[in-house]
Amino acid sequence: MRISLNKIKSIEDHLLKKNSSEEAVLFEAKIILDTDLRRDVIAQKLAYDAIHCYGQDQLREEIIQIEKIIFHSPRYTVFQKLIQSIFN
Amino acid sequence: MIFGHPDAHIVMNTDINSTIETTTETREELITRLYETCFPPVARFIRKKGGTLEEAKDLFQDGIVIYYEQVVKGQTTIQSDESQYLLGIVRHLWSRRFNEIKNLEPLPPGVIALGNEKQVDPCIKALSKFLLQSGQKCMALLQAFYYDKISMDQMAKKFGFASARSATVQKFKCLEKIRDNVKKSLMSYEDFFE
Repeated sequence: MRISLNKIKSIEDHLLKKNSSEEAVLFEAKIILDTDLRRDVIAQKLAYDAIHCYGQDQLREEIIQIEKIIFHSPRYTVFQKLIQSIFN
Repeated sequence: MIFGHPDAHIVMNTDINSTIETTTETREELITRLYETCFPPVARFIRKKGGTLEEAKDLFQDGIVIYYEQVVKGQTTIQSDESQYLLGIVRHLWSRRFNEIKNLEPLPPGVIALGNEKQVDPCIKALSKFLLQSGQKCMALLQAFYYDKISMDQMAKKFGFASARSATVQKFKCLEKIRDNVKKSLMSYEDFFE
């Protein structure tokens, strides 16, 4: 892997807590001393947040589509009647 | 695509064309089954509390998201008493929603504590734009690895890489693209990095 990708991997190991406690302390020290590294770490953390948001949105969309089918398709009439009886 | 954690025993099939690799359950099948078996007790609980069907649906969606994330992280396995487990999550979410602090329902064992903010609040849309800039394949790849937690071997198979190592390199390239986009857009907010 090229150097920049290795750097990303080392930040990932730190952010996702794959490092030993000694490595983590050393990395924290590097973050304090190195402004560029600090920026990379902040941006990479936000990148993970973006991926998590995206994954969650995709899952939620899938749930909504399945819910529509379950509450409206004739295939699930027994289920629909049961739920109606609970709220009537 | 099989979920990352070996104990998950479910297959993710968000892509219509993807091959179901084993006899285990697809994500679609899992969600459907959860509705059929776990939604009725949740609905009864919400009704008892004076809630509506829409509220029951809303909290159930949140419950599935939390349950799914717990399973793929390996923090819980698919439960035989899934219905009770999911009901436990929904009871907790209901308590939080209506600030029943004194009577806050405990979470089922194994579910990590939720933060002060609602864990499944819609994500900040602004963040997703960084991912969109990385292209469809990168989005799918990063989601599969970081959110659905599938292994690099499964990633290689699903995305057509020669090996897990090639998939790893591509994953880091995609991550680099997003990170650089994030950095560019934050450059104008110098204080953010201080």
